[in-house]
Amino acid sequence: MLALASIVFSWALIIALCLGDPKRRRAQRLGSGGQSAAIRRGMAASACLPGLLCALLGDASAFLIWLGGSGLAGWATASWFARPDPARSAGRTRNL
Amino acid sequence: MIHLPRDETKLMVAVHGWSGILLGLLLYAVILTGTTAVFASEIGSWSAGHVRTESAFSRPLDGIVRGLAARTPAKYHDGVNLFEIGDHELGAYFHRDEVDAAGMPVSRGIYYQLDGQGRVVKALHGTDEEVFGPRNDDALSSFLVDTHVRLHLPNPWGLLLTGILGLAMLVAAISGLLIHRHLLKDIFTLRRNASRVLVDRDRHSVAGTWSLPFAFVLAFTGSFFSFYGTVGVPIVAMAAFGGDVQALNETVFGNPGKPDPRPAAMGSLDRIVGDAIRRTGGDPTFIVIEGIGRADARVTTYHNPGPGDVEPLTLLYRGATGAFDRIKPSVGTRPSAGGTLAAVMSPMHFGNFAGLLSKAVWFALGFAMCYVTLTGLRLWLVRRRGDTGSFEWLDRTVSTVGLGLPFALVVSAAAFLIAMPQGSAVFWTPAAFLIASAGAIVGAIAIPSRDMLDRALQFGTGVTMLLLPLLRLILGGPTWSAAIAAGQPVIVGLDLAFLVAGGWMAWRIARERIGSGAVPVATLMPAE
Amino acid sequence: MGRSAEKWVRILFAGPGAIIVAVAVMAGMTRWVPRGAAGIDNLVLPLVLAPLIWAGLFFHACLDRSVARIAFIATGLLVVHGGLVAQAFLNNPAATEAAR
Repeated sequence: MLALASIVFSWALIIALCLGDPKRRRAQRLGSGGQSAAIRRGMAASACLPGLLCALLGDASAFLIWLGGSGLAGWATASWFARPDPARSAGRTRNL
Repeated sequence: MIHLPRDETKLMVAVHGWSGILLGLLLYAVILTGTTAVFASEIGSWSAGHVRTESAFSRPLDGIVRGLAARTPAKYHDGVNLFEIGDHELGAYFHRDEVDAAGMPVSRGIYYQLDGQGRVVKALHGTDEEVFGPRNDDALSSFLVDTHVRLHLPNPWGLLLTGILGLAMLVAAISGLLIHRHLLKDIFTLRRNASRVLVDRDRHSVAGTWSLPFAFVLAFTGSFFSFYGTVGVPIVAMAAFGGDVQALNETVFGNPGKPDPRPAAMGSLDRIVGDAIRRTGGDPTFIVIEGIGRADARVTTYHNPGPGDVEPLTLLYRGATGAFDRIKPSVGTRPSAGGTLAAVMSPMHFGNFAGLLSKAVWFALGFAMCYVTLTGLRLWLVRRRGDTGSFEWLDRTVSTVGLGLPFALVVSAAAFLIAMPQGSAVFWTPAAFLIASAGAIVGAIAIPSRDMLDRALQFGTGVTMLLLPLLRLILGGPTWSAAIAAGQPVIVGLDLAFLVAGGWMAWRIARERIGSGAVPVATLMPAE
Repeated sequence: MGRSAEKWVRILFAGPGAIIVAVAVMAGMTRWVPRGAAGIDNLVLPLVLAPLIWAGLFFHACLDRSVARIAFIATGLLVVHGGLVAQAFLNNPAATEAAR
C-alpha cells in the first residue's frame, strides 16, 4: 500500500515536471509555459519525498518498489507526452 | 550533469560504445531471459498446468522424511534439503559434502522426487550438479533460467561469461552517466521530427536515464552471483583459510556449536514447521536438516521476507527436541553489516521480496534495459551509416538477435506445451528454440530489406503469443474456470498477458502493412 | 612519456591490471577488514564488493590525467594487499580463521 501510494504521489509530480519541461516544450514547439528552475527543483525534490519517507520508516521493500516504479513512471510519462500530435504532424514526413 | 574534460569524455564515449557493440547482443540475451525469468515460477505453473496453491510444507511431512531417511544410507545423512518441485510436491536431497578432484566442495547423495501423496516417483543418485537438471514439467522455466545464468555453457565458463557481461553492463551504466552532460535536462525529451541519430539518441538516453539506478544494481548483483563461486570463494578461501572452501562455508553459513554425534531420535518435523509458520506468518520455502538422527541435529527453515523487509527470514531449531532456537540472519550467525549486505543481493537481483508487485516492477525494468541495450546498438550503427565499410551485416544481426530472440523464446514455449504431455519437453524446449533461431537467421539472409525482417519477426512473435493460450487449452491444460476455482489466477493472468501482448504486436504490424501510403517507419520495440 | 606509451599504460592498468589488482585487493581485504558482529565481514565484504573494486580501478585508469598516479595507486594496492596475504602465509602456512 505504502509503495503504491508513494509511486502515485511521485508520478503526479513527474507528470507536472514533464508538462513544464523547457527542453521538451522547445523540441515540440509548444512555446513558452515551462516552469522556472526554482519551481522545478522544488517539484523534483518533492517527488523524492515518498522515497525518503519509506527509508525513514525502515520499509526497504516499499523504498525499492517506489524507486523502480517511479523510474518506470518517468519513462512512460516521457514516452506518452512525446507521441506525435496528428494535427501538428499532418503533412510532415519522418526524417530517416 | 557531470562535466568531464573533453578528452576524458571522448574516452568514455569510446568505452561506452565499444563495450556496447562488442558485448551488447550477448548482454541483451542475458537481460531478456533474466526479465522473463523473474516470472519463472509463474511461467512454470502456467505452462505445466499446475493449479495447486497450498505449499508442500503445509502438508504432513514428518513421516515421509523419516521413511526416506530409513531407506537412505547413513553416509548421506549429513544434510537433508527439502524443497518444492512440480505442482507443490516435495523434493528431498539427502547428501554429504565432499571435495572433488579439483579441491572444490561438492554435495553427493540421493535426490528423491515425490508425488502429491508423498510417494517416491524418482530417486536420482549423484552430485548436485548431476541430479538437479530440468524435469519434464519445469523444462521451460529451467531453460529460461539456465540461459540467463550461464547461456547454457558448462561451468565455470558460462558463469564467467555472464559475469563479464555483468561488468560490461556496469561499465556501460557508469560511463553513460559520465558522458551525458545534460542528463536531467534531457530526461523528458524524445524528439520525433529530427535526424535518425538524434531520435535514436533520445530514445536510448531517456530510457537509460530513468532505469539507471536499476541498471547499476542489476549489473552489480548479477556479476556478484556469476563470480561468487567461480572466482570469489576460491580467492577468499585461499587468503583466509589456506584454500579450505568448506571452512569458509562453515564460518559464513554454518551453525557453530559443540558436535554431538550420539544417535538421537528426531523431533517432529511437522511440529517444527507448524511453529515456524506461526512465527513468520508464511510457509517455508526451503528446509535444511543437518545431522539427521544425531543429538546435535539442526533444522533451518527459510521463509519469504516479512512485510517491509527485503532479507528472507531464517529460523533455527534443535532437531532432536524440535525446540525453537532463534531467528538467525541469512548470512552469518548473528546480524552484521556484511551479512545483511550479502543477504540482500538475492532479493535485489530477483525482485521477489514482495510477491507479484515487486516482480512486476522488476520485469518492467528488465524490459526497459532490453530497450536501452537495443537502442544503444541501433544508435552506434546509425551514427556510422555512410562510413566506409558497411555495417549492414551488423544492422541485420542486431535485428535478428533483438527481435529473433523473443520470437525463439515464444516458439520454445509453444514447443513445451506440445511436448510436455508426451514427456519429451526436456528435449523439445531447447530444440525448438534452436530451430526458431535458425529460422530467424535464414530470414535475415533471405529477406531483402531490414524493415521487412523486423516486421516478419515481430509479426511471428505476436502470432505465436496469441496461439499459446489456445495450445495450452487444446493440449489439456486447465480452463480459466478450473484455474480460478482452484485459486490459481496466474494461469488466467499469463493467458491474458499473451493474448494482449501478442494481439497488439500482430495488429500493429498488420496495420502498418494495410496503412495508407505513409513512409514505413523502422520500428524497434513494442514499447514505441 | 609519449602519448602512445601513455595510452598503452592506461590500457594495461584498465585491462589486465584492474583484474589482477582487484583479485589481490579481494584477497588482502580478508586480512584488514574488521570482522564485525558475526565475525564474517572480512570474508563477505570482499566477495560482495569485488565488482565495484574492479570498476573503481578500471575507471580510475581511464580517467585520471596522471598516468604516473594510476601506476602508483594500482601498484601500491597490489603490493600492500599481496604483501598482507603473503605475510599470512609465511606466518601460518595452514592459515585458518580458528587459528587467528
